[in-house]
Amino acid sequence: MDAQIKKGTLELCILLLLRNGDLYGYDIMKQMNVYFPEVNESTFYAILRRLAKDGILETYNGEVSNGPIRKYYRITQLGYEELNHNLNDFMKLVDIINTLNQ
Amino acid sequence: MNKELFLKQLRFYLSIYFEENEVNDICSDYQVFLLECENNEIISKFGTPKTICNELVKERGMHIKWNSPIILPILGLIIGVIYRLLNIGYRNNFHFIIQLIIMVLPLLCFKHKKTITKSFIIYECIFILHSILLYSLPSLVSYISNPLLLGPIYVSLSNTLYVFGLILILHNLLTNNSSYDSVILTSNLISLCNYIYLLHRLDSPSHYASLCLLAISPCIIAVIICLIHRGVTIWMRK
Repeated sequence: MDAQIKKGTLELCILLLLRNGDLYGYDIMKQMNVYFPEVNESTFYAILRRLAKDGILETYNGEVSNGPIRKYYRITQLGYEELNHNLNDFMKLVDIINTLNQ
Repeated sequence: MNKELFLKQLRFYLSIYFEENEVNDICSDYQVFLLECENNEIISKFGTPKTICNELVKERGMHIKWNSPIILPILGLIIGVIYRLLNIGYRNNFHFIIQLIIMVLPLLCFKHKKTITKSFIIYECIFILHSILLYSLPSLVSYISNPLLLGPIYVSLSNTLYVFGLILILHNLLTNNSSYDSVILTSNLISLCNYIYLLHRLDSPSHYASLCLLAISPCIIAVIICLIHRGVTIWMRK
């Protein structure tokens, strides 16, 4: 996939993934890597940090027995607004491309 | 690459661009991630520490690496030149006020950051030493010895110490990293020797061009040593 197309999509995909439930950082990176194998896992981590910094995601420490404390990510209210907004934009774009492609 | 080395390198690269608390946060995240993979998988999964750092810098939107330790000696150079140029000619109240502003500015920055580090204490000591050497000792020396010889040495010694203090304080302000302190100290000690040597060799130490040369020399050495140190550190960690 072209890097320019991918750039805006990754953020949306992370939010869609987290819409289904809170996830631990490495889990997000691993799951995203299934869909985008050519993207380095560190790219997802960098996006996660930015989203958390922008208040779209928030973190909390999860309890894990016999293991290190894991940092979990969840979507904030602002995050849900951002997700709906971006998703609408993206679907409109898909419609345009589909129409043009017919 | 083993996990320990990976984290060490990551910390090194991050410390160039990020504040200490952010560096700790990122490194602790990666420390947990690394538990999930083997040593031989690290690079293929996460990329090199430099790649990780670049990704984070890119996401943060900082394109100008203004707080790189390489930039610091250049700032030191500019300040050093301004400071020494201000010292040419007759010292009056204007000079004193300008010098005072240059001296107090880093202290205000420190107050703003609300951090007191080892370097701050060193800077304070240097500042006091600078004042003693620059204003008190030369006049005392002129009574007991040849002021033409010892006077400039004391002034040069105090000036070098002062530039060193400024470089040190700026370095810590910008990078929040003390790993380059020893390099800066070494370079300034070398430049001090160079300074004294030049003063002995020059017929007229007060000449404009020679003073400019003296102003630039400590900071150029600082830049060169920092570059060499950085190169060697990266090379050794590869």
